[in-house]
Amino acid sequence: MSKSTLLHITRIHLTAVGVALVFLCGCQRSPGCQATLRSAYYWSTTLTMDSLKTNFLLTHHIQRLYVRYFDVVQGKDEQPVPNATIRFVDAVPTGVEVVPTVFILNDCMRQDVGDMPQKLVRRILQMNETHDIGCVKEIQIDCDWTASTEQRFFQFLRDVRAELQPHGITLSVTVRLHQLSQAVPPADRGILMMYNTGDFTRIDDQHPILDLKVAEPYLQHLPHYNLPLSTAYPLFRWQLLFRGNQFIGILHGDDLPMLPTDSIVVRQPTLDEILQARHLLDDVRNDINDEVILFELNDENITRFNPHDYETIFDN
Amino acid sequence: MKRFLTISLLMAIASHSAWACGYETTYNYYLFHTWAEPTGHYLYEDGVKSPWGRSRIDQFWRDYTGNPDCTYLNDKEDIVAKARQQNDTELLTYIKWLDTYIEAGETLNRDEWNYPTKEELAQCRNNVQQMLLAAQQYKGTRLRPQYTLLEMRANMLQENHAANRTLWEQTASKLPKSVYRDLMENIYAGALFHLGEREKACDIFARQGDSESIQWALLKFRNLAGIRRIYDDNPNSHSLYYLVDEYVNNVQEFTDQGGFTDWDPDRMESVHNVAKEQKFRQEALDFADFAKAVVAMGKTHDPCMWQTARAMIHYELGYPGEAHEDIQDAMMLKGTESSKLVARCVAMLVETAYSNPDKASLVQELQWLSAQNRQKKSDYLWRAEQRILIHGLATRYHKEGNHQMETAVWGFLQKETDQRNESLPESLPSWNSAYSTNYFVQLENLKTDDVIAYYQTLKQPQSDVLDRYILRQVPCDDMFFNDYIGTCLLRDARFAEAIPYLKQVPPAYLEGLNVSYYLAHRDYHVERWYKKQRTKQDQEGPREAALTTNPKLDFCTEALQLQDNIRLAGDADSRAVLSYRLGTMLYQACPTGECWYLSQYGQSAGGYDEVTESTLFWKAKEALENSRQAISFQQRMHSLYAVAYLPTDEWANIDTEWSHGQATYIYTPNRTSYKYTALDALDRFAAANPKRVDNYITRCDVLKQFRRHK
Repeated sequence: MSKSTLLHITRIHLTAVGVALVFLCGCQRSPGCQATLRSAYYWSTTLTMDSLKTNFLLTHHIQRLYVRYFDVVQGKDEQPVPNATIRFVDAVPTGVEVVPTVFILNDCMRQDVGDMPQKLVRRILQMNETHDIGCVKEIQIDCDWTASTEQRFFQFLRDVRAELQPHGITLSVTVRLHQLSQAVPPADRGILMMYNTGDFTRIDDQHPILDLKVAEPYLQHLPHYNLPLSTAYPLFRWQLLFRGNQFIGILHGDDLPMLPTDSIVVRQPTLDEILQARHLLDDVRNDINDEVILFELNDENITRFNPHDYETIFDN
Repeated sequence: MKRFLTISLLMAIASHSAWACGYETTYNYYLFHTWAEPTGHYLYEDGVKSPWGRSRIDQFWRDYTGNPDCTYLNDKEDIVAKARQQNDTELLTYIKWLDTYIEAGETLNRDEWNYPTKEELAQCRNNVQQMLLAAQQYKGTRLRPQYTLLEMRANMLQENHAANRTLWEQTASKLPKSVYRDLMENIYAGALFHLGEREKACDIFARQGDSESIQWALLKFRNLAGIRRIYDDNPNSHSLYYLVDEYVNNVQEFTDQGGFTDWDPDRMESVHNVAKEQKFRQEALDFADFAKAVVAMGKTHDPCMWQTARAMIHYELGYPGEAHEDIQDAMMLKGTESSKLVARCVAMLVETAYSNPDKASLVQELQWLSAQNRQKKSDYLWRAEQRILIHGLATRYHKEGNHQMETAVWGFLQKETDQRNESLPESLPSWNSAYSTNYFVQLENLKTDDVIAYYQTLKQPQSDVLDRYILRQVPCDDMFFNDYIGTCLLRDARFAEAIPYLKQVPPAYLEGLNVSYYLAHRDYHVERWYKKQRTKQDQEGPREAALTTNPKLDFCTEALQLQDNIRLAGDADSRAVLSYRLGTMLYQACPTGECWYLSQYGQSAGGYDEVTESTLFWKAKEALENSRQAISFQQRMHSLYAVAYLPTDEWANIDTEWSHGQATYIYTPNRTSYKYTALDALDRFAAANPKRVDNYITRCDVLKQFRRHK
């Protein structure tokens, strides 16, 4: 049997399992079940579904995938333009709902965005159609907005929402911890990013990805935060290059040249820290873990822990 | 390394002349260029574009159509028409596939707002596949390079990088040298990069001068660690030329920008980031040590480049002695033609900062550089000369406090500039540019006595060989200086001293000034506070009017005469009348007067701010104040009005309050201000003589306003 035939058979097999999953998940989400909706982010520039990822989705009954479609950055004439658009090499397994996600650089909100809401929605819908991504019920906007860009960003969200309404699609936004103390964005729901709590460029910051001591003060706003919320938890790790105490960069393989005296430090949250974070949020707000999202789905992150650990993160 | 990016961007801006309030030229050019010119031209190959320059690609189409300006993108219809006319089906087929490639590139660019439909994408991929097959099946010889390039382009669009590696290594590299082969090698380098062979890829990008690709590919290597790593892999990698250029030029930029600053919100000003500067300097010094080690190891084929880089670092960081030693060594080492040339220019720059330079040698080198630039040998050499003269020599003289020689260097550069531009068509034939050069700006920065001394310096023999050489290069136009010094003295109200200079300036010379029309048509006797002299617009430029006398000379003679007459006047009324006349003409000649052209060569936007620095203004004010002592009612009235008119300070602060779209002005009088006192005096005079004062006083809106709010 040739390798391609083997792959073909494996795909058919997995598709069948996927169909079964949809049925199973449908039961899990019924009002009486109260089970956690399991999701993950997909943040790479190429969408490939190798057996590791596909197995992970199946094994852990992942029902929803937030797929970064593209970024929006400032172009040469300071007009917002798409950047780093994802390349669809493989299809998302059947039965897994895709939430197209767009990261918008905050700088884009420093001037009039013109007809970007229309262009952005049209582009997402076209990408869905071109790549046969059906049943899209929600899109997500990720932006590290600040007080100075709040007004424009919120208007942008209102416009996007209005554009989506005729298509029956809702709008979600990411919510960073520091944004909890600010105005609530006009969206249908939010995803609390339970990570990036510290400053990874400081060598003395041991827990820049997830530090509960840093996160805790922000959580006082959670009970009254007037937006349905789910939570994203970090699986990722950083290898950071320091020269003395000076941050040089994040290492991806050996892409950063090093001097003999340089040091590499690894920052990653432990399973215990992730679980503690989940507990902490449960205590503050009931609905916040109705959906648990892992950031992010890649081969390294989904092999860091054993399968049981991932189950614990989802169900605790 | 974010700073590197920022710096490079800054440099890209600084390398070009920029518009601010006006046209401002910078001389902040990179001196260290050992691999390629930033414009994409190879050093010493002006006029030859980089391999992917449109010019080289379009040569085929120019030859085909016989149109020297033909480009494929702009003249495709003509190309197709010609091919049809000649029944050139082979070329028409190639054009079809070339268009397929161009369209596919646009469709497959995933970062446009318009995302392709499934059908468009499928059609495009199919087209690319067909293009690939057509390229592979081409059996001819005439368009063999084009079709091989097309095949590589198809592979690239299909992201089949392995196929491109094989195609280049087995076939394309063996084709005759051409722009198509250069482009194929460039695609091959891209394929290598995607296949993980970064160093090899970058080596090709660097060798080809493909700055865009190498900048992206070596983004994280533009630092000492990156340079060391590339060197360790291959001490003669072409990438090192790019990286060392980048590194040295960033250090130059660091110095030119005056270090790193951060905005301090508490102090509301930029402050030096000392820690960051220290790190940057330390790394630069470590680089200099590394460069020395590279030369000592003997593995590099271009020790001259490394030693020159070391010299530049020491020069930029303020170690001229070390830089001198380094560059003397560098000149003796072997290196490429580019490295040798850069070393020669760096040597000149370093000598300008060295405490004990060999001035005779420096003069010889400057002569050589000047000769090269007169022949327009290279853009690089012209930029080098500008930097050496301004950042090197002018800075040296400035530090020594020798402002005359500093000005002379600017004059030298102006001459060089003029000579380079001689063959260019004059962009503004109706404009005398002598009064808008940077050299003229330097002259304007000198005090009048320094200008006089500078003029004398230009004419005197000099014992210093370097000074002598520079001064010989500076044009010394006696007519220019007589008019200019006379004007400066007039500006300083030194009329008696101005007259001997102005006497030597005939009206014909003044007709060549950009203010010629004003000189002929405006009258400095007119009382500015009573009448506005209207002249036609767009009348600036030389030869706009004929002159029979020198108005500047007339002005000085008359002012001098009035000053004498005032001194000799027997009674207060006569003194007042004469003072009023003197004040009237002095005010007209000051920067805010209508006859500003008597004391200036162009009107500044400085306006009222500038007037407070004008001697003529203060002299006018003094004369008009004196004239208020008149016993005559009429003269007192004129004088009080004139003094109240003078643009001094504000008699009130005016705030605006808005309510329902209506503005309300709130006046807060400054009762100690000069203007308040002057208006108050006029107001009291008018109030005391309601039936005698003229209409221009009773109807004066400023006075009415003052009366309401004082």
